[in-house]
Amino acid sequence: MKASGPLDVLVVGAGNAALSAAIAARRRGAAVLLIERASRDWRGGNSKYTRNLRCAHDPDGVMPGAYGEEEFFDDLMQVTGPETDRDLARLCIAGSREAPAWMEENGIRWQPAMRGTLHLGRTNRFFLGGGKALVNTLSATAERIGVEILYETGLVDLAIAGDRCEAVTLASGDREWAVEPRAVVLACGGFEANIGWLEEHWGAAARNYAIRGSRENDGLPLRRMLEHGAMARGNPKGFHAIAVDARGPKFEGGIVTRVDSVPFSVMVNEEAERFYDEGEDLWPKRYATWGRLIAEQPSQRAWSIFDRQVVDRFMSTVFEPFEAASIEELAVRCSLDPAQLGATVAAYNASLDGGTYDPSRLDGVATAGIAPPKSNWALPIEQPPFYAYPLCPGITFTYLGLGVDADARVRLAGEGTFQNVFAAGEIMAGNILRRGYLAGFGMTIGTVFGRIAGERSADV
Amino acid sequence: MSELQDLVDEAQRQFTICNACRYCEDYCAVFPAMEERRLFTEGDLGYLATVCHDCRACYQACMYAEPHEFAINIPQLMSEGRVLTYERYAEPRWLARLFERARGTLVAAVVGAALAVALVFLLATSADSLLMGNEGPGSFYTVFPQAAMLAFGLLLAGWAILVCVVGALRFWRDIGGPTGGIRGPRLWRRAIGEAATLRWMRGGGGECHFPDAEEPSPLRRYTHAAVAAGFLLTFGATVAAAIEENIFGILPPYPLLSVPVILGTVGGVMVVLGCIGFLRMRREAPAGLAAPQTASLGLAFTWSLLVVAATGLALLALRETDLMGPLLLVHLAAVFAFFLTAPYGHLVHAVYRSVAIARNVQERASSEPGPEPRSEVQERDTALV
Repeated sequence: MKASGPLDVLVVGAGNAALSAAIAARRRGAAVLLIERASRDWRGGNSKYTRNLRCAHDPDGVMPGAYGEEEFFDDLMQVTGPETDRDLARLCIAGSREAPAWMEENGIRWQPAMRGTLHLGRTNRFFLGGGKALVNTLSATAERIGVEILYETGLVDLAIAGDRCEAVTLASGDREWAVEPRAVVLACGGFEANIGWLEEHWGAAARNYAIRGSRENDGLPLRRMLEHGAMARGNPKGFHAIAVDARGPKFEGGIVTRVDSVPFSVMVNEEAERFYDEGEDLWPKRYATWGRLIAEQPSQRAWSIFDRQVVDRFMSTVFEPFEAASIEELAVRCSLDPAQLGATVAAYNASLDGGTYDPSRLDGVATAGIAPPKSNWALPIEQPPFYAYPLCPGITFTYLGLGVDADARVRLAGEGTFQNVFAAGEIMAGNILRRGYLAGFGMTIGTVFGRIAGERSADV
Repeated sequence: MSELQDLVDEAQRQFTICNACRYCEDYCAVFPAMEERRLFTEGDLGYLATVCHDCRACYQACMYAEPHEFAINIPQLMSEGRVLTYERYAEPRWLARLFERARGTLVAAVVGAALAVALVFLLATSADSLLMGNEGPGSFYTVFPQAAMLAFGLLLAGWAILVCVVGALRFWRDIGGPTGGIRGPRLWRRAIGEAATLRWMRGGGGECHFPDAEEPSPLRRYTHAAVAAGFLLTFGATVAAAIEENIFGILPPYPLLSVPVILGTVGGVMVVLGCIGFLRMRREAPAGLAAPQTASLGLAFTWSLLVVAATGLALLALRETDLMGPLLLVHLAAVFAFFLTAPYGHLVHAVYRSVAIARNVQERASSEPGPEPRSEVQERDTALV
């Protein structure tokens, strides 16, 4: 490592929260070292797969309409439930108001007001080019103002004495060394890429999950801090997952493997049997439940079966669906039992009692007399060619994190906080987000708490 | 043909991933146009590739670029699409193919051949005039007869224009342009504006990532503007000279403070500086983001334009010396080579880009108010976390 004088702040991670912390600390005069486990090519953690952040705001050129803090808070309460840390949630939402201007000062550009396929224009701000462009811009800004960045460098452990971190052991390749920063900011995500850790909770099934984000998020700093007496926050088993194409990459599939065909299809498991109501509610409210539902099926696999009349109704994905002239042939393509799939589809088709199909609302076009039902958008599957997407759970992030206070200081499991250990981003999102998810809220937490952690750590 | 098919297949693979992602949709017109299509033909590839101005912002922003296994590289793909497009629409095919193989050598060979022919011709007719420092009106024509120069010039220009027009019309048809062309002054203004201002080289406002991948800047846009404007000014000088000569009966060389000389000088300096700028940028730019043929295309074009402009300026500076004759010869040979190779070289990018931009403007206008609005069920939150 470079012996460039005393180190004030060590930032662990290189996503949005980490870069925000590093920039904020550096702008307050601190000497900052940021370490990233990944190579430069893979830098940026899960942030590089994001696209927007949610922020409270008055109408402006980028975002039409107003989004008040109360409405934001209510939206959050709806998804995460009352046991969230309300003070931190309010702090985060209040901070979200200033986040865009701060990001602009650091080089971030916005997409013009949304058009076309996205309807989040009122609540969410989209960064031009998406998350990797954001990571590139913030990294360049950080380096320009004097933050030192070391890639392929990870945290091994922290030397904790009571409520203070005395030193941090770093490693890069075979080399290990210790640094003694005045403060540490942990902004290195959850543990979703640590299959072993997931197996502790989910058994061998965890091997069949796809991890949508960074392969580097093994949660080691999180685990070390918990061992050193930090407070845990969030469900230790919990993860956010959606249905993704099972043919996608094991890690780093990002946005493009996501499949949105569920409400237009019937979903069957390995036994070629339906297992849940595909039309339970509008898709934006239900897409995140299907990761968990598929994870509960044998081999953690499911198939979304539909026909020609709906094939153009949802966004195309990275892989073409399987296609066949008959349901039986389609079953063979999917390695499902043709007779059973034929019977399942036939029973579904026979249960339909008509109605006016309308994909824009809960249309009540439902099945009758089968279990589970399909409560809306239940069209017959009868027009060849028939299609199928093979699906598996795609994990976005884990909920378990470190408890923090309003200064982003990591709390001790008992009373009090660590004097000089801070956390920002996904590693502390569990304080605010106990379950569910609000689009763009992860980036809000990262930016707001990244800034707070950076500023407070510089003051240590 | 299989090379083209391979490229179309690769385009289908990459564009399918882009269409499932769409994070780049505000960088330029390419991605919204891509989103309108699900299956991609040769024509679609040519269309999207020529709307692409190679700003490379999408590559920098792409989380699916190598080392990711999806290996998305839109700048490279588009560059290959452009090269193949330029080749496909150049007639006659045998001449185009000849140029594809050894572009730089061929340009040099044409210059050399032109020089040799002219020399033999001159030595056989009036050896004296070549090396005698002629002065005064009409002195150029004592070196090279006016009629020959005029005939040559018109023939060459006519040829270049014919090849380009035929290619442009075929291209317009192949990329789905309606037979009536684009309609209305509003669309024409928009198309000309977008082409002339290099709107799609701006990376959605973040500027162009060439030559420096990580420090985007307007340098390339400004350099391009210098070369393009300089080129047009020198063209204006030629027109002005033709007017002076044919309408007012004033024979060249013209005085320093005359319209042709001022336009030619300013334009020539801009072209020289711009070309040198491009040659330097090309050296600094990172590899792997362009088709291999692009380098030879660009180099042959830049060098031949640079030689034309530089010899023109030299001719102006030294026209009252003994070097006038040889310089005029070299300059004319360079001009000859430039126009003969123009329809088979990089110059055609101006033609095909303009056609593609016109098509894009027309397509955008006709898709307003757009396809049926997507329902809430289809709404897709593309924020991963």
